[in-house]
Amino acid sequence: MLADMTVWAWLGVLAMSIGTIPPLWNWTTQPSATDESYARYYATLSSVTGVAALAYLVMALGFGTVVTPGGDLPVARYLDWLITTPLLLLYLGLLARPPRRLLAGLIAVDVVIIAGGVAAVATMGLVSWVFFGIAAAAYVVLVYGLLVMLPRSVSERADRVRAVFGTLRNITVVLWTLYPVVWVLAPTGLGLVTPSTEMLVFVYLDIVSKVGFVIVATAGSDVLKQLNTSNTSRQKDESTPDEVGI
Amino acid sequence: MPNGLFAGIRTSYGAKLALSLIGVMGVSVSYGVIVYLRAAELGTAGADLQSGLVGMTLLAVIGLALIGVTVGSNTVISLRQLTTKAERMAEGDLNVSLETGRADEIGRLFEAFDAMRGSLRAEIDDAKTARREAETARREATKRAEIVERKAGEYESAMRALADGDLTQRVDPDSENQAMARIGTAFNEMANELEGTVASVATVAEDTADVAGTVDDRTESLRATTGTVSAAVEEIAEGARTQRDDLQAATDEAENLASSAEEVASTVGDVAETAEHAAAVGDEGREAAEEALAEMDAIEEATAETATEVEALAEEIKEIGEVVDTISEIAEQTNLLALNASIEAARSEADGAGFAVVAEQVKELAEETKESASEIEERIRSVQERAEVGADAMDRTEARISTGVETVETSIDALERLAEASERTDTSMTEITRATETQADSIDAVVGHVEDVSTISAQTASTVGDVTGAVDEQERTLGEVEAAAGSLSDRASRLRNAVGGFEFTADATLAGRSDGSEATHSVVSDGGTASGLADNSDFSSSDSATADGAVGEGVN
Repeated sequence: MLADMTVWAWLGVLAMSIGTIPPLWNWTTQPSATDESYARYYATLSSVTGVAALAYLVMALGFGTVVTPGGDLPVARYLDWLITTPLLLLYLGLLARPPRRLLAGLIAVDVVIIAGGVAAVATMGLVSWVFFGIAAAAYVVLVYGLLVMLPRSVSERADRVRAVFGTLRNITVVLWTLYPVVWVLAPTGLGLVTPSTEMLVFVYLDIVSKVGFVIVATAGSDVLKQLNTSNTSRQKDESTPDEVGI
Repeated sequence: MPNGLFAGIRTSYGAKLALSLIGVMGVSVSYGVIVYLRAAELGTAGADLQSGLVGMTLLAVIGLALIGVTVGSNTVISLRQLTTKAERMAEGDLNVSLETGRADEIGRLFEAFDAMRGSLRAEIDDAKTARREAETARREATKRAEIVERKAGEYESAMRALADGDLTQRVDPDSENQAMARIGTAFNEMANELEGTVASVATVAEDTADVAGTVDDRTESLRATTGTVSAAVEEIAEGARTQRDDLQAATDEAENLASSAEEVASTVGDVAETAEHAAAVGDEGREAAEEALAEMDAIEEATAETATEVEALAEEIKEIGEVVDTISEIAEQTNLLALNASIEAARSEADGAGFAVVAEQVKELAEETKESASEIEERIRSVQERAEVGADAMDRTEARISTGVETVETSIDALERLAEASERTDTSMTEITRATETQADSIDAVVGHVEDVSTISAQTASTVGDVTGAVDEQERTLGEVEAAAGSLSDRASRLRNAVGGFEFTADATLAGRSDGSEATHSVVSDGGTASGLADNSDFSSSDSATADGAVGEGVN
């Protein structure tokens, strides 16, 4: 035992809390004239890390674990994911401005994935793998939506918006793909790693995918201004290109 | 398909980066698997270690994925966008948006592109302005060119009329364009000059044509006379040539005769030489015969001596035979003695035994002697026979030699007669030679005379040739004079025709010659000389005199 699971949880709390600072800082230091329009972006971003920090706090304090026939179910972690992953998708949606139905569909698929994971943990044997398969299939649909459908909407946006969106989308797709790998290696799947190591890897993965996402999004927050301006100009005249000077 | 895939990777920075990161991940995972399997041997103690290894590997993979999606993805997207914009600018769309929130190298790259676009726009504006100015300048130039063109059209029609022969044509030199005005004035001056020149040329052409006609006529008559002289001289030359040929034939005949006489002389010389040679050979033969005769006499003598010797030998042999007969008698007597001795011995009985033996021995000796004598006698007989044979041979030889001597003496006589005949022949030949040489000398003299005559004839022929050459030269000179006169006449006609096509004012330069009329007229030539001669009789006659003088020089 290299270190206790609690230590990893506390590390998660610390990292998530630090990750919450940049969006909050930007939100508060932003000029008040247009604060209303940016509030939802910063709120979304700070919610992602904030909720994660709370979840890890619960785990560090030793709560949030329910015993199921398939083994211990870390409820706090899955709850965290159930909230934060739709928020991340929502932020991507805010940048891309897709049709509402597409965004809703993507979030629904995401919920199916998390729910499948929970079911797979809670059950045993073949049933567990069937649920895992359902979740994996749903994840393939989600990846298709992120790689193909969402970019169609973002192609109307300014270059800078597209660049930030592309980076965030890539972070999401690549890092999320590693979650099922860890899940398979962990006691929930093949059991090649101990629960402590599983904890360590998930904490690291969470930090990277959430804090990384938030920091990149905050660093690219200058796009929010363009996003708004272009949005208004688009409303005035559909045929005018997005480019509004340099 | 692998080619397309490879090309796709080669042209995409993102694909390269992703492949590199996936490679590093593969290495990490592979090494993790190896160590994991080794740790499995440790049993339960290694379980934590195995778990830790898997965890480490996962962390490494996650870290690499993070770097890829943040650093790599961001850079690749920005670069792609910039590439697209640069391509649009390259296609001419300078209004592409070049905004960026970045301040790093990529941000600076965007700014640099923006600055470049600005300078491009400025350049294009400058080019447009320049083109507009060029357009205006071109329009002004066109207008100016039209004015000049119009004036040039007027000038052209005037110049064409002038070219067609109307020398009275003039242009209006007033024009907005200074250069065109100057050209107009210059053209008018040129037309004036040309008109004057053509008028004077027409006059000169008339005069020249008349003179040329006269020269032509005189040359014709002179040519006829020269033709007659030439024919006469040709006849003389022909006669001289025939004479020269005949003489040449005579010379050839005489030379043939001379050479045959020389041949006869040389043949006679050969015969005389042969006769002398025969005489010499006869002498030599006679000498040899005499020598042979002497030799034969010597042999006869020697043979006679030998015969005598042989006879002497026969005599001696006969004497030897007598001696041998004596020896034989002695031997018989000895034998008889021995017989007696043996009878005595037998009578004396025992005492006489020794005596008997001696008698016996004597008897034997006598018999041996007798035998030897008989042998000698036989041999002498054979010698005698041979000597007789030799004597016979000697006699025959003697007889033959005598016959040979007679034959040789007969030969000597024959040879002496031959020598005499040869000497007589030689004398006759010498006489013939002398006669032939006299004949050859006479023929040479004849040839000399004929050659003298031939030389004179050749001189005559060459003199006639000189005369013919002079006549030919004269004729040629006349031909040249005629041709020159003809050509002069032609040129004068052509000049008259050429000038005839022009239209000009007669008094322009001919004030001194013409009647002063100012009417415009054309000179139309009729090829004759009458019209021109009437006006210029003085000029014409002096020209004719000059032509005569020239022809006279040609003849000489």
